[in-house]
Amino acid sequence: MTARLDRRRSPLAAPPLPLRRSTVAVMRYQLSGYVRSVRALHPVLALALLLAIMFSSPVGGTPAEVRQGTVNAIADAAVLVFPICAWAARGLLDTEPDVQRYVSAVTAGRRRALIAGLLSAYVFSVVLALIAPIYLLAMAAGSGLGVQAMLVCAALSPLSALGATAVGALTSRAVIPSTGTSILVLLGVCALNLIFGMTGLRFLAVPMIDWMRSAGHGPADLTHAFPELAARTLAWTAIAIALYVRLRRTRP
Amino acid sequence: MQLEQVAFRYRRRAPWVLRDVTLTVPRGRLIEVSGANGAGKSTLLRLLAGVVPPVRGQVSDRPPRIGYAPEIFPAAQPFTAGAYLGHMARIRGVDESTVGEWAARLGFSGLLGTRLPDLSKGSAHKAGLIQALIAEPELLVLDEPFAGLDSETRAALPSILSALTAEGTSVVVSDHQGDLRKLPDVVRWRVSGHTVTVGDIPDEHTIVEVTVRSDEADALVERLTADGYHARRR
Repeated sequence: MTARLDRRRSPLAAPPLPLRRSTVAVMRYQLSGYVRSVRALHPVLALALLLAIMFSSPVGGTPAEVRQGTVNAIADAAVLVFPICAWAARGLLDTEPDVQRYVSAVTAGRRRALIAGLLSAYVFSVVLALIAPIYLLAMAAGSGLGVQAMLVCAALSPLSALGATAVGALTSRAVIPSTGTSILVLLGVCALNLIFGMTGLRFLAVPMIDWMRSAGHGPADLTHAFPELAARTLAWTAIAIALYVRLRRTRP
Repeated sequence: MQLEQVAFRYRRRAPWVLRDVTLTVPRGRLIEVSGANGAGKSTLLRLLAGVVPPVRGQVSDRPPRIGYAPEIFPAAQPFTAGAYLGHMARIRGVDESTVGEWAARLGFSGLLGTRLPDLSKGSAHKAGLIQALIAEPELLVLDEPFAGLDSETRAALPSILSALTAEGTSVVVSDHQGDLRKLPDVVRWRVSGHTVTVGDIPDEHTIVEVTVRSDEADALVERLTADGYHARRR
């Protein structure tokens, strides 16, 4: 015991764990717990169902038609994967039992535990979101879609996962303890995003309807509109995450 | 570490669990927290550990390394005990061999390969204690640490806590079982009436709350003190 104390308080003691390494350790713990639990299977199965439906009608025709068809399908996939990613993010954050969340807050520090939770949820969501368009991106590349348009198409799913992670976090058990209410809010926010996107209130929504519209007008239109669409998604996510952080202040 | 006029409630319009709590956590001392069920002991321990921030007042000089063991260990996790404690050690940045050392001291070595949900209540409680102890904490907060422990660990724990205080760790323990009563120099905090009183209250005494106009409060405190009562304004 004495030796342990000397090691702790000696000037030669090991320096504190770097912030990044410790955050990664929390993320490894959270992701490992989620992947080992049955919860992770729910969004994976939902994604499999979505992919089965999407690929039941293959894209074909001339190279130009394939280009347009795949860009449309990639934009649609980024929208359809949104609720699945939100569900996955919520599931990951809810895997830790409430009391373990208290222990993690002390072990890692409240701020670090919160940041690690959001990062873990985003990592899992983005992996899910990127599975959906992989085949479509390969098809688009084969049909001669330009590099810039390819990059924009590839960025849509991570953007979708970003907004979805914020929705998942806001509906996690730490914020909404009732399971029924949190599912209702999660589905409600996803539905409102689409409804607002079709009305004059689209500035309140993740611009999913707008990126579907732009994709419908062709790869050039989507590429041109992308900076604004990305900025609106980032702003929406930033506000939602700020709200989550604020709510978590009094909801350990 | 100090708590200054700390108040806490779990929701905006919920009743206050604790109010006007002003305390100093003495360094290198063992503090026993007592109080009736629902008095707010666990909430006080969560405030001390930093699980929740105070709604009012402030907590200052909280040490950076804190160990916290909850009253009921959350065993519903998809890990073996060893894997879980390994994760906690990596998050802490401490050598994973520390887990083995503490497991041996608490008679837990044979259970490191057991899945957490398969542990008995007492064994799961030990896992909770080990994750708190591996932190080499400067403040150790234990919520009912003796509950469910086998007799050997129960007998060993007071001396482990004493050794930690001798090294400078402040140990705050809520204890219904009375296992710390035999130890010398234990600081006692009593949680009742939404606040915390330092020191023992003899069995024949109790706390009376009096609501009074603000401008009469100081005069009343003076009068009660002159009459030989221990009175203070909240």
